[in-house]
Amino acid sequence: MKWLRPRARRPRGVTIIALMLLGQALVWMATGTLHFSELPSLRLPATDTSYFNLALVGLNLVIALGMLLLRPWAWMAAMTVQGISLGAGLWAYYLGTPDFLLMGTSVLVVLYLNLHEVRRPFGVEDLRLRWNAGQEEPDELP
Amino acid sequence: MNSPDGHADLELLRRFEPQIRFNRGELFYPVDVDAFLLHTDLLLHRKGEDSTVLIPRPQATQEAIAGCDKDIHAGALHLRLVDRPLNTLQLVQFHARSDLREFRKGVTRHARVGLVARLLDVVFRISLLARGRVPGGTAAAAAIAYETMRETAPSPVYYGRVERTYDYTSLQYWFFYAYNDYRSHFHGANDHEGDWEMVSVFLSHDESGAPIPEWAAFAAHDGKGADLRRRWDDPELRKVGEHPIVYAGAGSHAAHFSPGEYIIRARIPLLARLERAIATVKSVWRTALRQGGTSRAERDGHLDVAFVDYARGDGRCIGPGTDIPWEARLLDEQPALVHYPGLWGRYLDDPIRGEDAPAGPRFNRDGSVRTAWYDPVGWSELTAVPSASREIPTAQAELTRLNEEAAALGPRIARAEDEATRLGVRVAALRDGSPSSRHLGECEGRLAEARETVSRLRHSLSETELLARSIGARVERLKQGDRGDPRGHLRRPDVPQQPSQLRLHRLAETWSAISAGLLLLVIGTVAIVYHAALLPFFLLFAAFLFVESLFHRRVAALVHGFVMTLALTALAVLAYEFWWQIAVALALGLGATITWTNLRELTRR
Repeated sequence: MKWLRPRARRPRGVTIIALMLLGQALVWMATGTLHFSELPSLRLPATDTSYFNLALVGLNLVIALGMLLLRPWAWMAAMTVQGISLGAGLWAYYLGTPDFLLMGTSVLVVLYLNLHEVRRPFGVEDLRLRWNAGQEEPDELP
Repeated sequence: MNSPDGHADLELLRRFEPQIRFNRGELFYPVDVDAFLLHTDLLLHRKGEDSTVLIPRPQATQEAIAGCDKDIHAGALHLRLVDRPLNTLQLVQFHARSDLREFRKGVTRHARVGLVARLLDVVFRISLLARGRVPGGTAAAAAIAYETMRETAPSPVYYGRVERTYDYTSLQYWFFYAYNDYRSHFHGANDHEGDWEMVSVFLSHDESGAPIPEWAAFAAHDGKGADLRRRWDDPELRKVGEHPIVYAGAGSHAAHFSPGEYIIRARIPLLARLERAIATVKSVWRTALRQGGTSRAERDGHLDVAFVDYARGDGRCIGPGTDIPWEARLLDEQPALVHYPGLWGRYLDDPIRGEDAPAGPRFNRDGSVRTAWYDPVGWSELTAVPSASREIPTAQAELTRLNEEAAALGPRIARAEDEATRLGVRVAALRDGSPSSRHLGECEGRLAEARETVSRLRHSLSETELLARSIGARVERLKQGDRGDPRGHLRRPDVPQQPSQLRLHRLAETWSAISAGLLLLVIGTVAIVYHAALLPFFLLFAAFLFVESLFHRRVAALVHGFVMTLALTALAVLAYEFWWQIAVALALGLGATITWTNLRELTRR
């Protein structure tokens, strides 16, 4: 199972984020299920962000696994999901129904994932080299 | 130190004269300045006044303009080639029969750069309305005048200059073009009358005195420094026998080493402060906050307008190996080239000088002497680079000097150590039972100084030995014929752009041509329909950026930038909503950390 081996030594924070994503997915799954529950006694009031959350559950699970294995796509996907989450959070804030916990968590995750020492083990220090290999603008080379 | 023997200089210049390959559609080639001057007037422009003619055509000969006794500080002394630009009908007729029809622009410049550069391009174009600008139809009129010049002086000319310095003989080839039509005919940055370009070849000499070509330096767009030169064995420097090949930019006539299309970036001076602010923020972001960016190669906060310099070399070729030979002249025998301090074409008082004609080979526009004239070796940063024939002796001499230095340091260290030991004995004795504490303090001070001296001398010896070893290794490599990387001196050389950088060329070009204008039009429409609603603007801009990133293969970079923007916005919102709680949390965190650290230190003791 070579593909299950991480590419490099995993930073502790990445493990925490992966576990957090797993936990977040489980919570969203539970709350999302409860929003749509048929039993009125179990149904929670749906907020504007909860539909987003439910859609992100599956994605979160895959990303969490990719993060544990330090896959470059998982880093990009995690950033994207946090971006969507932040967009939803800011939109909810604009509408007057803010979810500050969601926003705060996402901000911390994004800033942590963007640190040099976290990007290095994922191999995403240079996004243009990683995803557009050989497409450097020649006039910008050092 | 010039050679008194003009004939020998001319022979030397002839031996290494370059071949220039022009782009298809080029209208102006190096011309005889005497033929040019027959079609020009000499004028003086005083601030706030119209230019007055000092010498009308055809009396403005080299001798006449070189002897013009008007003080350069009285105003701008300049020539004028075109006094009446072509009208629209004449322009249509000109374009219908000119060589310009042969020019193919390829991928447009807008498709090669990002949205910001294209929006800045709009600013640049508007600035042309406010700045002094060569009137439309001038380039075409100059092209017609140039054809007339060629009737009297058909051969292309260069003006050569030989300068001998301690280590190098520098051969300068100066080319004069009647007009720079880069903007009006090749979508470039500027137009101006008169255009001087220069190519240098640097020679050393072997034991018999025979010349050995070492370096070639090509001037491009007023640049200077090490990036302009290539070592003679660098594969990028193409040659026909002993003649370097120059690829001239279409209209700009800037010299390049490789054929291709170059992106030239023009800075907007008004945005310099903003550029510095962006660079500072980026630096804090990367170093203090340890945050990553999009690409390691990205430039720091540069806001500039991009132009393409077409130097494909697919047009006319002039010089050795072609059927159009050069006519060589010695520059020092041309009075106007040596003594005329004014401009070689129309003066428009352009604040950023792009549309003003240049001064001659010797002078800058402000009347000061060009670096390339008084220090041709320093101009291309060759001053500290020994020639091949002197590289080994120079390195060996330096090695000997360092070894002597190291040998001299040995006894000095021994003396300093002896001094320190003696002072150590005194201090120990004084500590055992001194009648005077003042004497002890004095001795301790001298001992500290002696210790410092020993340490400094030992450090110096260690550094000298290390340097000597490096130089020794270099001497060995040089003896084996290894001169090191021929491109090791290059920091940011110009490289032609790869067309493969764009996806879906035609579509990308169409998008690039319309997007900047379309964005402004749609924003205006949305503002009318939705008034001050933020979301439509936001979505619209995001959609534009997405399409843009698709064409430029930067989707990952776009997503990253987008997420970071959202994160910083959210951070600002959180800081605004919870500033008090954040301040309290920071204070509590800081207090807890200090207490914990101090307690740990206490318990470890």
